[in-house]
Amino acid sequence: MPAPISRFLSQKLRFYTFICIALLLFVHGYNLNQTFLQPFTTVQEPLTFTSFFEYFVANGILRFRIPLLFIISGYIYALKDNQGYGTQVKKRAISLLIPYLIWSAIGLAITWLWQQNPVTARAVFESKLDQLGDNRPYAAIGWGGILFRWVAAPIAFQLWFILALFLYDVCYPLIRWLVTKYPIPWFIFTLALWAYELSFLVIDGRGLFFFSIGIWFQKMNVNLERKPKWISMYIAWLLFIGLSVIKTFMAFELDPESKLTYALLSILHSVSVIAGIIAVWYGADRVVKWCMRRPEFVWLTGFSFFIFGLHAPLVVYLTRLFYIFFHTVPNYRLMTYLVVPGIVFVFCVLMGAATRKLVPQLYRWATGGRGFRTGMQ
Amino acid sequence: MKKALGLIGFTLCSFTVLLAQQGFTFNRISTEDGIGLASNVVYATYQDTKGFIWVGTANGLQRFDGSKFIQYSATDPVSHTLPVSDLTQIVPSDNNSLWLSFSLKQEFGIFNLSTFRYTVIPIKPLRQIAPGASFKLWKDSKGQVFLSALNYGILHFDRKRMAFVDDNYFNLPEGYIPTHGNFEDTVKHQYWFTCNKKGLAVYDERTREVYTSDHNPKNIPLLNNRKLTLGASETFIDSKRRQWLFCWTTMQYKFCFDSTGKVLQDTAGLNYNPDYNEMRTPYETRQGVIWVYGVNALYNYDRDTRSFYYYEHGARSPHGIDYQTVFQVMEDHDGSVWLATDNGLYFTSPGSGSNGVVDKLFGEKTGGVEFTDILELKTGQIWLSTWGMGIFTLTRDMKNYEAGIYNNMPSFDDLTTVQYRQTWALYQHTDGRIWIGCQAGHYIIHDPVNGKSRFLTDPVFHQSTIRYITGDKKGNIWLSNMRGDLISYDGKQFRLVQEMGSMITKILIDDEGLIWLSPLGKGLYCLSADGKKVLKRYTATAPDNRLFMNTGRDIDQLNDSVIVFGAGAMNFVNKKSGKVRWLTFNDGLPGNTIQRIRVDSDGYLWMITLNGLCRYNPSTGRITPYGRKDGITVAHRTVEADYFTSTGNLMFAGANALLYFKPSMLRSPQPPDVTITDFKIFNTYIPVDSLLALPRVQLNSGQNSFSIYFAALSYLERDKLTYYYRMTGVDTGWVKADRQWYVNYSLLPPGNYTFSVYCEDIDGLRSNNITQVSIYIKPPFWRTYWFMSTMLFLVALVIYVFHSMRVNRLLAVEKLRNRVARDLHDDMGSTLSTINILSSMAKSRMLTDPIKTGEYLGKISDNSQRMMDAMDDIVWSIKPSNDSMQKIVARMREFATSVLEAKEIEFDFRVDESVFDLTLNMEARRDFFLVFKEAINNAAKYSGASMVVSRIGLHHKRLVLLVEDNGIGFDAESADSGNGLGNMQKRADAMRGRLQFISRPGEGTHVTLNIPVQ
Repeated sequence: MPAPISRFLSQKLRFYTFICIALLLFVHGYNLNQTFLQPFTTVQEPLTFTSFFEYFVANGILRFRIPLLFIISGYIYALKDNQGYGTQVKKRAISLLIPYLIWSAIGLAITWLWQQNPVTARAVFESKLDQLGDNRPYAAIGWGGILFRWVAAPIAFQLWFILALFLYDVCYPLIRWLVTKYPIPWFIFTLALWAYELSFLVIDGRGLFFFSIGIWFQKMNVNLERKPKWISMYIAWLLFIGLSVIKTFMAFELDPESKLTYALLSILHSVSVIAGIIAVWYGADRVVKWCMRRPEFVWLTGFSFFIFGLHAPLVVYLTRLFYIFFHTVPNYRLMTYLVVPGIVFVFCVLMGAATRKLVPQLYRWATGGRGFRTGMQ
Repeated sequence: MKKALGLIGFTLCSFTVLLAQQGFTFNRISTEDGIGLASNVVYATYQDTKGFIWVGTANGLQRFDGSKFIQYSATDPVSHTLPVSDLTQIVPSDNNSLWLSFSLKQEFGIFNLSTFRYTVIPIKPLRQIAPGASFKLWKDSKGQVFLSALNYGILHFDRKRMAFVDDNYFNLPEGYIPTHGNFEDTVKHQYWFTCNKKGLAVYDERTREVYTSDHNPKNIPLLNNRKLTLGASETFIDSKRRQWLFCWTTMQYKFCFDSTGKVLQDTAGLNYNPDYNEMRTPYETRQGVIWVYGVNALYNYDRDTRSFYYYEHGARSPHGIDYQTVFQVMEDHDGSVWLATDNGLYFTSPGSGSNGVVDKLFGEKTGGVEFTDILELKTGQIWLSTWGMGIFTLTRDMKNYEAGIYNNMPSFDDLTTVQYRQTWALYQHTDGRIWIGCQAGHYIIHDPVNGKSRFLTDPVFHQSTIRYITGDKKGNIWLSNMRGDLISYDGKQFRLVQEMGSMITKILIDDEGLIWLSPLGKGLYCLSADGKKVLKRYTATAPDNRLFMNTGRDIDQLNDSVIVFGAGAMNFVNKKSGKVRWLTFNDGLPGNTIQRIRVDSDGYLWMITLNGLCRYNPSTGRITPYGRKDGITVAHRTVEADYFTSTGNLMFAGANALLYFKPSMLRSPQPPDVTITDFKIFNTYIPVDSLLALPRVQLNSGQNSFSIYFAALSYLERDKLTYYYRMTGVDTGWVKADRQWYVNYSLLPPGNYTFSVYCEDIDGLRSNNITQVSIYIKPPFWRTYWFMSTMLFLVALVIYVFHSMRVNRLLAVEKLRNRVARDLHDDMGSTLSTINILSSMAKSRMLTDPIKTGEYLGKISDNSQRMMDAMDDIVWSIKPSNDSMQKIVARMREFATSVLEAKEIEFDFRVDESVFDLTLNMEARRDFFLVFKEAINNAAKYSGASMVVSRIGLHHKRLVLLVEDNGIGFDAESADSGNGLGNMQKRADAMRGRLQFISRPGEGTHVTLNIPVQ
């Protein structure tokens, strides 16, 4: 029987889950010419404050979120691994697979609705979000195409995370065995998968290392509340922010064709992400306590999953819509980047609150049962 | 007279034929042009998909972009050397490379256009190829590449072996050795081979069989005709499925067959050639024009007459071409035909050769002809008046017909007969009758309905030649003569209206009915509609609104308010405001010698000057000259007459020259997009194809001076295009490229730039797209933001390191002070306290109990001695000079000796040499010594031993201390860890070491300390 986690650790996990998801809005709301940013992506547009800021935020300092979410997921899953494999997988199917299908369908429905108006349809077209590269209206794609998008290539592209998480959970016994028996080879292997953005069979390689780290922390009874003495917060923040800044400049200035650029950006990315996780996890305890003492914040954290499911493709479409209407306004790109995520955040929270109140059963299915125990219910 | 009439008849006939077959006009590019052609011996041409013309010359490979030739050489270090030698063939390999044939060197290779890498492809025949054998490189429709070697056979390019190999790809029978005149029939999937000793052989791709005269299961008609096909050297099947066959026996014979093998007469004209000639495989253009060429041979096939037109060559060639051998004919993307010859590169003018532009000079062969006026009849026929040859009468399609004008001419004296054929003016009245003004005041009225002519004269003309005839809206006819009289005819009688005193060459009646005249040397007159009143006179001497000069040749109406008058320069006369504006040589006119003016249906003003034809666009004010490159060669001689026909054709005529074209033929199409043709950094050309394939051109900080070359790859338009370019970040606006198709940028600062260029034709039409190149000049690395931010990062890191070191140093000092304080407190404080108590007790009992007092004093003495020892230990351990192991060992030896000798215990102390190289820190040194001290003390005090042995050694990076005695020993398991043993254990732990006691009663004691060292 594993030891129960402390109240503060529980609050901390909840706080960071919410923060990581809320910051997703800024990651998915960037509007650089490159529409798909990878850790080593170089930028083929002039270096301006806007382009620097967007890259620095979306492909720099906010890159710690998904790894941190995977660590939290691994840790929590390992905490409850005494429930039996079948029970646990069944629970995860309900809390991950069903929401995957629901939010994928909602993404399709939003897209279809936007395609009904010429202006919003233009925004959808220009966002080029379709993972299959086919930006025709859904009326032209046919039911087969829509079905494929629903199940395999969701327009709500962020759902890859929960699909990957579900598969990790299915493989949990194996991962736990590897983590506890052969931790060093396993971590080297999974670290390489993450660093090179590789996948391992059907398993997404981008989160396996951090998911395994979460399991290892739990199994080794690592005290996540107390910072190890050897960790310097100064160094952690310096590496986190400093390397993100350097990497951003390099993405604009280095030769995009060079393999050295690819290697440099990848290394800087990896180091800054790990430093960022350490800096953010150990460096904001006061903020965590301050926030989690406020009932309204705790109430907001209840909508984490709802925000996660609903924000994309909305944030991308709205960004394009802003472009259509405000492209003559000075600094419209920066303004869009700063304003649109906020609008979508508020919309998601309001929709979440309304759904939870009016159709709680739907809310329960859509969130996998998350978000019912909040301070302001 | 008969001779004269015969000459007229001959001229009429030849005129008709010449119209049908007036041939192409050629433009020459040679080494003398100064645009870089490496040699006038041009063997091969090829136009790539982008539009560049690749040229194989006697001096190697070149590329032409319309403005210059670039000489190519291999730049890649692993490449073979590209020969600067006779490049006889260029064959496309793929979009990015060319096959090159240096057949005289027997060298063949592939040249990559992106990397400039040249790879020689070796030949691996099964038997020796005769020295000096000629080669032909060719590629079939499937992309297979072959090399025909004369008197050997065909080699096939093997992609795996990267060589030409003799694999008998076509299974040709023994003895069938093809010449270079083979042909692939893509319709029937057959390859035709001309094997001059054996005749023809046909390889059927589908059956993989070879058909010959001896084996003809498909009964191919031509194979059955062995008599004709023997000695076959070239064959070709055109788009109409006619098969052309050239055979060498005693001379070269030319045949044309239909698909059934029937001999056609379409080779007419091919046998006409004043010189010895050799013809090669014909070439057919996309428009179906067949060209035959070779040594002293250049012909093209005229579909109308079903015969070949021979292009004379030499200095007097009317087509502007001079050659001995035409090596290759090629059609470019615009439809122009390019000729690779031994005397330069030629290309045809647009419109020429297709009757789009009839542009004919009548030479001395026909005695010459002077055209004086042109008239299109209401029924569409074209009449041309001549001086001395009467009237040329042509149908709508410019074929001669007999109008019978002179059929019923009465018998006049010889002079009058000739004068009636010296015609000057033509006019068709609204009643259909045609007035012909003749020499010496004669005139003819011809009725085309009954074909009758009346040959008349009238005293009103004073026997002066009638120079111009026209009519007004009321049906009056207006005539002028050389005497300068303006005469009207109202259908009943002639009336002398004005006497100007000098020849009137043109009468214009404008849309208001006003009459405009230009008597030679007297300026321009505007008369009332009845001609009686001079409303306005414009002269070159007027104080304002002056004409350019008084002598003008032609007048026309541009629009409802502007009359144009060609007097030297062009004079625009606003008849409402009376203002006159000039258009002169300074404005772009070819010359201030305007001879003819004609406004076309689109409002463009066409002008003939002594320097040629030009067009003026009134809406843009732009002037476009037309010359040889447009197929216009005789315009400067067509100064006598002009006409705009109902079919939209413009005609100009003059001495021995006729120009006839549809203006739309010369109008510019949409200008093509501009191509970046070259990129030169300092003086080095960079492979532009691979450069432009990048999303942006990246240059190092030192590569900040470069030239960009650009051109619209249309060889028809190139002289009529104006280029505009802009480099964002450098140029504030669009810059017009004045006759320079490149731009230099020097010492640009690092940053992002976008070079944009477009072209505009003479009418102001722009290319569809603006061509752009993104250029990024990298800053030197020390000026990059990533470098500066890295430096900041490192500074922050260094600051942290120094800060950490300082903090650690302070912490170390603090720790030392704490330890000294603790030691003083622990060792000194408690002992002094004990002494204090003992001294108080001694003091109180000093008088009462001297014995006890003596014990107290003894204890005080012991404690003070121990305190001194402890003090000595503390001071010893702090003192830096005692840091070496030698000092430690010496102190240990000194201490043990002093203690054990006092007890008369023998002491054996040995230390390994390697121990002396170690360094222990202050705390470890002290702890190590005190453990030893405690062990010695215990041995001295409690063991009762006679011998104590101590060893210090280094074993596996661990310092080992052994102290053993032969005393009474003790039970180590039951012994309590009193202060002595406990302190030893604590000190061992502080050193991360292991302490071991081995002792049994009666067996002595072994104490071992084992600590890690660096």
